[in-house]
Amino acid sequence: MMYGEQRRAVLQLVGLGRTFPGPPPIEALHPSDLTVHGGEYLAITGPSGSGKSTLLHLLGLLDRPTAGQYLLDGNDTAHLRERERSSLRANNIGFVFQSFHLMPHRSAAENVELAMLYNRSPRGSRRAAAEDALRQVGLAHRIDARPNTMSGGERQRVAVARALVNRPSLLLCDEPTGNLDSANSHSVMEQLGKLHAEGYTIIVITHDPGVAALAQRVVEIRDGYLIEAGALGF
Amino acid sequence: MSRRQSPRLPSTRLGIRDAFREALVGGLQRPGRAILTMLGTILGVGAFVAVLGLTSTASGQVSKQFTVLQATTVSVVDRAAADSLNQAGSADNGTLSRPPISFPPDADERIQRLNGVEAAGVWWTVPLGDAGIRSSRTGYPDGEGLKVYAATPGAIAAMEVTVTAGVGLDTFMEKSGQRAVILSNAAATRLGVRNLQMQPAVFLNDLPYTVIGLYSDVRRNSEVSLGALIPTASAVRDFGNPDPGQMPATMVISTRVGAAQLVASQAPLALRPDHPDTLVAVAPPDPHSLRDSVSGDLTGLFVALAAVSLTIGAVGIANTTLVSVLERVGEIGLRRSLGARPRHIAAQFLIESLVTGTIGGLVGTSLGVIVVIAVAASRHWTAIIDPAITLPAPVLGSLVGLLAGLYPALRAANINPIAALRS
Ligand SMILES: Nc1ncnc2c1ncn2[C@@H]1O[C@H](COP(=O)(O)OP(=O)(O)OP(=O)(O)O)[C@@H](O)[C@H]1O
Ligand SMILES: [Mg+2]
Repeated sequence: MMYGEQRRAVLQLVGLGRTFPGPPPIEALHPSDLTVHGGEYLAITGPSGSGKSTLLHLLGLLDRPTAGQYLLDGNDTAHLRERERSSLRANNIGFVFQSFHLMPHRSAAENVELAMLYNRSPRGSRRAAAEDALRQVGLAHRIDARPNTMSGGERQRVAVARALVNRPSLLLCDEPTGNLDSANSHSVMEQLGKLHAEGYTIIVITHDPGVAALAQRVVEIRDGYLIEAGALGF
Repeated sequence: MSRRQSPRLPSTRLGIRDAFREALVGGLQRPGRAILTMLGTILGVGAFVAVLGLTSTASGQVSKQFTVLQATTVSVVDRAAADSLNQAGSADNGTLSRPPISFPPDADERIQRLNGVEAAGVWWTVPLGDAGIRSSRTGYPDGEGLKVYAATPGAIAAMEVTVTAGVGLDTFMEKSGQRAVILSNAAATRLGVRNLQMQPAVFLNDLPYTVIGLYSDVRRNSEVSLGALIPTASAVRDFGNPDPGQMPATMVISTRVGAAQLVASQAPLALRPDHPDTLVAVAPPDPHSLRDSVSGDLTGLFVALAAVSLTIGAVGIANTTLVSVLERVGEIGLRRSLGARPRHIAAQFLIESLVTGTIGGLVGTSLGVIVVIAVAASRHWTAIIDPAITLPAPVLGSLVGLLAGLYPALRAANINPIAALRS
């Protein structure tokens, strides 16, 4: 990937804020600015209740801000209708959740195929794309396995495969290692590191300073305020 | 600022094949539950098909037994004569003490004027003495057991007697009281009558009657096809009034199809405006009321039961679908994060309940048809399975499924994806 391409801003927050209407109103995210460029690997850390999930839901277009602007791939999302936001979720964003969210009765490949159900992917090409994505996360041998026969790390890597199968411009990971022991955490983080090396833009939300330390750039969130780690003097 | 959709953001969609596949996979995850869910629909649709099939099968039997001939035959009986018999307490009356005929002399013409009457006339069994009918005055009683009937030309026409040789009894012979007789082929054989050229005579209570014709087939009052027929005027003059102990004077009326009930209700008054109660008209049972009495009560009951089963089936599907929505909140959140819009979520659950209802409807229809065939076979009936009922029956199941799925589908579509993903 070219440098110029890497410096393209994938997402840009301008005074983005979210206040939950009360009573009492809670300003979960104070108006904040943040720019993430293509190919960046960003960790967002903070204590419980600091607003991490609130930010993730805004970034994932699952929630709407009460203030400011959010540009994703050049789209001013404030002006998009629900159907266009769905389209961005289906094509431009890949989610990885703490609790995997795999369908227990479906094979790894079928779980990955689900990501291509709504985004107009031709039916005939889905299976091959799913197998490619599973190979990419090192699960070539578990293509037909059910999630309940897999380790936690394998399950989360299936979820990663599902998130990247549409080649999204942004991978959003919410506590991806929250349900994993250290060995499994390690395999998942290694996987994210490899994807970063391949040029994916990744945002990881985590409690775990060890996980955050693997990222190229760390942003702290405290009581709804975004603070660049450098600004705190680490 | 423009609200137009960016061409770079094509709307997400859920293809129809994908939607059905997702719904089927979702439904088949718990086959046991799916079958239990279908049970109400299976019972409802099955009961519906079975009840309607059995009803039409049963009424098919009724109409098979109930011929057109019966439906167009009305008889009017001389009740006054029958009542007088009861008062006398005995049939052993002399000729003179037998009651007179209640039918007026112009009975045939009077009835003929009624709408729907094709032919009509009075007839009775002639009360012959011990001599009966025989081929010679003094010879062997070869006609023993043969019955002689008095009948007007109208009655002979109404009975639809087929004359095979010679001539029938006409109005002239009736009016003039001629001693003429026509023999059934059976009677002619018994009495040795072959050639009518010779103007043979047979003897009724020793009175000679000229054989002028032979007949075979008698459609109405088929007992007549084994006897002999003479004019009523001759019968009354030579042998007296009818003996109610044997058979009172009776009018047979052949009507057009569908007119029997009306003719029967009008006949006594048309014949005897002064004393209509002396005559009793017997109409064939109304084919509709006959059918209705066979099926009416039970059909209503069972259709009501089928409707109850269908309602229970709908509630069952609605309940299961709702449970499945609540169990799969996480899945709904995931699908929303993968680009599914609320309508796609609704479609998935609606199709799931639609498929459940349709399969229930198909199974129920098959079971209903099997029940109809089994019952018909066990009673040696012809199973009548109306395609107009059987073919749309599975659609009833689909409809139940669709209605039952509406509320759960709306619930699923309105689930907040953030809350769903947290679960
Ligand atoms: N729907 C809501 N309505 C009102 N307040 C909310 C809502 N969601 C979150 N909050 C509040 O906003 C603040 C930030 O919550 P958030 O879930 O973003 O924290 P978090 O950093 O993700 O915490 P954790 O690490 O425990 O997941 C909290 O005070 C929370 O109570
Ligand atoms: Mg959180």
